[in-house]
Amino acid sequence: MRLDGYISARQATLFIWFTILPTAILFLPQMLAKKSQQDAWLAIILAALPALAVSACVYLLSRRFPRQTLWQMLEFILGRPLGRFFGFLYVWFFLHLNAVVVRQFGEFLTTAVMTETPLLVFAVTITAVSIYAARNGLEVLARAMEFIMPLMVFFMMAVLFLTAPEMSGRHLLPLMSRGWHPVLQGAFLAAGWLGEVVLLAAIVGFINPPEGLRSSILFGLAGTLFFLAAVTIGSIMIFGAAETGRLSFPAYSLARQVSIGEFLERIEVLFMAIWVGGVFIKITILLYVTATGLGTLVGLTDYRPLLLPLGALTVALSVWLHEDVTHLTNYILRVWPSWSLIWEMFLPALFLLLSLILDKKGEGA
Amino acid sequence: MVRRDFLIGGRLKGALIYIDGLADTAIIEEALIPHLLGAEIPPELFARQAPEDLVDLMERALPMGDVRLVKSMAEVVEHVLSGDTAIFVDGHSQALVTSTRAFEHRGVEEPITESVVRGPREGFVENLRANTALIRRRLKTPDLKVESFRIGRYSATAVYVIYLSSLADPALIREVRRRLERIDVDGILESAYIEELIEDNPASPFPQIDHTERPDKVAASLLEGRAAILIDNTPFVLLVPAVFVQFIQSSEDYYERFYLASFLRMARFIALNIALILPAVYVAVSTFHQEMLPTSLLIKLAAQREGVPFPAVIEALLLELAFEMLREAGVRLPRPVGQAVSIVGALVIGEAAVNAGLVSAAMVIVVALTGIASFALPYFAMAITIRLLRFVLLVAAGILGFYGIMIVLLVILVHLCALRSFGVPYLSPVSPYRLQDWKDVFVRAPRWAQDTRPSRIGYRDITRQGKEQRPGPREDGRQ
Amino acid sequence: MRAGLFLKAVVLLFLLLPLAGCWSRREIDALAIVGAMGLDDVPGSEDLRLSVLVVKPREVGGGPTMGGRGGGGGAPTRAPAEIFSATGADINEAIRRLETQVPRVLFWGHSRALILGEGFARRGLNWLDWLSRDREVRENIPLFITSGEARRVLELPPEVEVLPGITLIGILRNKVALRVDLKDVLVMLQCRGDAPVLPRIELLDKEEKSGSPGGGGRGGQEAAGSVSGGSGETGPAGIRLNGSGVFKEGRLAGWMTNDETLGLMWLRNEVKAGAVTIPCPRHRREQLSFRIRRSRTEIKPEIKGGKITFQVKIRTEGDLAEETCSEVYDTPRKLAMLEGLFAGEIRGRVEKALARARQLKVDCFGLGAALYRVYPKYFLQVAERWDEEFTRAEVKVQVKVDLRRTGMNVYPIQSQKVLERSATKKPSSGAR
Repeated sequence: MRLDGYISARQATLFIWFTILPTAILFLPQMLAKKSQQDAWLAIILAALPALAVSACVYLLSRRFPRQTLWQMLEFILGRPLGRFFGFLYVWFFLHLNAVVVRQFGEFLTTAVMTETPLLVFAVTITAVSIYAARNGLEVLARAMEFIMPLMVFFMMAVLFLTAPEMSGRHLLPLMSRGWHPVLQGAFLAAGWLGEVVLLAAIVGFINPPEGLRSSILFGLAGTLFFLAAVTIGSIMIFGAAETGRLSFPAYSLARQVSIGEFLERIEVLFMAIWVGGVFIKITILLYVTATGLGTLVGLTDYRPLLLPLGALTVALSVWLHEDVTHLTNYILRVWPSWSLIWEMFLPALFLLLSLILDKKGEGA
Repeated sequence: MVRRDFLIGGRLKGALIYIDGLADTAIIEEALIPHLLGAEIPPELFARQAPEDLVDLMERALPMGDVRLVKSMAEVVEHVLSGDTAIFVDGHSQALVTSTRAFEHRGVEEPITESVVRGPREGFVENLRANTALIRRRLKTPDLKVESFRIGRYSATAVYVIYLSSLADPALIREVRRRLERIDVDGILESAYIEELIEDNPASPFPQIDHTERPDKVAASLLEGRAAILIDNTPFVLLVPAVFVQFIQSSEDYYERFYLASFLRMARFIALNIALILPAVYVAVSTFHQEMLPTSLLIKLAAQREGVPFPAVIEALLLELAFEMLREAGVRLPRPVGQAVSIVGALVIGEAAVNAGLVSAAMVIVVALTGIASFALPYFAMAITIRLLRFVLLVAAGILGFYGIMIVLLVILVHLCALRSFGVPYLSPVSPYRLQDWKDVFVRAPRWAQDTRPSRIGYRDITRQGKEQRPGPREDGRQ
Repeated sequence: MRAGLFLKAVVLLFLLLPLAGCWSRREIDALAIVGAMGLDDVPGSEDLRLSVLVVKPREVGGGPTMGGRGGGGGAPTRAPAEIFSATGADINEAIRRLETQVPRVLFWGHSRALILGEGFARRGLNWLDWLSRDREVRENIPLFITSGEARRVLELPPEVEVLPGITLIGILRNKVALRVDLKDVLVMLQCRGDAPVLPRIELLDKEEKSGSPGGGGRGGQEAAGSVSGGSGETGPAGIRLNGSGVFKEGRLAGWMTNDETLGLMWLRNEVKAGAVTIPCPRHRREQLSFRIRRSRTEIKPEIKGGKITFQVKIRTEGDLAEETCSEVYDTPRKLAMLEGLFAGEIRGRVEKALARARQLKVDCFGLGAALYRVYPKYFLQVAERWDEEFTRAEVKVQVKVDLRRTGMNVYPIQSQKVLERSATKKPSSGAR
């Protein structure tokens, strides 16, 4: 399949940021606070190691197979039939991930913002917009990121600064009162989310210049971790670990806490609006990656016709896969970390190893 | 059409053809005809009936500057229809054409749509030649190139592409040429005809080509490496490529102090946002997210809305529609009547509607504010786009509140990101991000700091001025 | 052609949306804006009674005037709000019953205060769940407790502020009284070694409101526990925040007087403003006041041989705000003496609060939480019986007061006699 366009290293940084942060920031703090209590932030920092490992795999693979997408690499390493087999599995993995993201998106909006509106409305509208965006290709998506990222950064910083008077460092103590175990549990959970950086493998070939990839990975992960940790720490410093672990959306509750002189308060709806922008990018990335991947595998010349059916499938899956929010949360807590790490860490590492052993390289490596 | 037969030098039969009203009869009567009649022509010259003879005639007998030998009848027709005079000589298959164009046109006046407090008061007129002169007077360089086209099956409108050959991207000029050449329509009556036929994305609501009446603005654009498209019979000149931020800038920004100019740009940017989303936000907040309002404001709004029969969305849509109608009425009617209409409409109806409890006072304020904000946008074309999108946002806000607004804004954002004007991304330099170009986007950096041209447009010769342009106090140290 | 198909699909999709209705849409004038909530018990039954103060926008916010119904307050002017009450086994049931009385959609997002009746508070705090689960109720709504019925607080007639909720918020904004938000209660309740305290609203009848009998006295009302909630059928004339209610294991365990509450605020590091007044050292009937600008409390737990000691360090700075003494404090030494006196007064309040807490066997200061932060293992051992351990723990209070400034005048107003006296006594001192 012919894919044109390239993204700069700067935009690749944003790509990593939007791959992980939008959903993680809303859902992860609660789970981490439940698992690791006040040491949740330690768990995040610890989870950076597997995330770095994942991106290192992607980086090394991209060095061996320049200007290639994940699917092309797979065929190179494993040969055509096996490579395609794993390629299809990856397409399924990303599609599944997208369905979970769409579901989380809808769950948040129906729970916290517009209770009476059916979830399907949110799922359908956001997917429709994502299809429209994905049609325009990677470059346009990268440009849209450049607009939404500053908004997200600005708003998160504003919320953290404006709630700072309410924060108290004592909620962060004692450090590791129950030893390493809860922290490691939390880190394992967070690793599943941070490992989503593996998506980079699908677009790594479009990064121009390719040498910029290393700094994009470092800056992208650093920025993501910083804000994830900042919001988690902020929530714990305001609500305490117990209450943070009890709230459905600590980051949203954090925005609800902003109150400056009876004038600047109740800004959580803005949080919602900007967050919708972030998740929109994430869904579009996943949709684009799924469609281009599938297009490559089945040998289409254009990925665009795949977007509408894949989008519809995503919406359907998002509704069918999980019966209710408890099922969804249980799934994310119990199944997702190990399941996702297979795809995010184990397999890429295996592929890298194979390519080293078999000494396979792409053109121009 | 006038045909005048005569004998050149009293011997050779010839005829003049011109169109009364397009050609300058004074020149024809006082200079052309007497010279032709009194020309001394060696008789052997015309026995041969060779093309050189006509050239010889031109050299001997025609006092005009611009005389051309044309070979086909079609060319003759074209020239005559443009106001030139054709001279036919008996026995020759060719003709001489001399420029006598002098039809009535408006004098150079201050442009109404882009008036400035400080700056030149000249505006383009409907005459192409006068317009090129206005530009040439500002850029006295041989690099200023003019390429001419004739577009329109019936109108045969003259179209000039003007650019600075050392600055403009040749690929851009090629693209302009290509797009102009593929136009095949019956007539071009205004620059908008051309604009709609050469846009990158014709379905987009956003203007992708800048237009102006101001020669100083055209000159400034040419200096940035853009190309100007001049069209006969209209004072509006198209400038390509255009980017989004251009449409919230005004040429006066460059003539005022940069602090003020920067402030005004920010103010316009805010006005743009207000004009786009304020009614939608009001509807979203008052029907979906009441928790956003301060308590006292919520109670006030609730009190005002008691007894209002319409839902807030419908109320907003009706008022917006009424406002658009008022504006339209005011624009189309003669000025004194228009004013009366706006006063009656705005004051009387608004007041009465609020008193009767048909609409809430807050909504009237919101709509009025939105209207004022949309007038603060310097470009009518952009203001119209914003006004249209406002209705879309309003409906979305009425259905899904802030989420609906965000969804529509995302669609607009993606559309803008995908939009290009002659290959230049519409949202540059904000995205794709080029920090060096930000000096002339949301703020206007002082003249001495504007060292480089916009890097996507004028990259061929990026340096704009010498180093160290920043002025300072007297160097001899005296105060 | 494909693009056209896609466009058509999107357009159709958006056309379908309005058909399905605007689910979450609520017109602003169809809302019953709840200004404040009160929760009471129903004597002789397990049910609770929820009272809501529904704002009448046209009485408060102006706008087109139409006839309004009389409110529940029984005030002579047309009431700005109406009080609705309903009983139910839990809050949700009560709300569903309220919805059979209120002609509009109840809207909780602007509820500015939640008041608990005493009887209800004694039952426990498990009803908090609805407040944090509902998306409209905000986490920063302040909670109060009253010794009578919560509903009666809502009946407060409109005076400076039209609605009781706004009145309460306004009082809290003065920063003198204890402010406990829903979020704080949740945090305190779930924190090991901490217990919630809620400020107490006292209803005033007409006489009390006019302020003569000890209303403005030093340290407020001493006899807080005995004030009955208002008088008879007529509504309260005013309210006052006075003292607090202490919760143990989620139930109201007892009251604290105003002085004790102030001590509690010092210990909890909640003091942001306020004043400390002491009698003059020499003339006991004259007064000195210290106005607090800044205050910081640090608690350091120590364990020595199985005995827990809390080192409490309070540092306060502020100005000399009032001085009716006929003495001059203008040298560092004299000022240091004053600071010592103020510190003593503050320590006294803290000790009083501690004594009351020990008596109630509730650690409402978060001392246990402080211990947990430093000695988590040790605390987890004693967590089960912490309330007992707490009463045995030693609390050492160190107060340091800094009098930074003296306000717009340097010296107190002195009669000529006093001036002469001081001049003869100490000719070198600054008073001229």
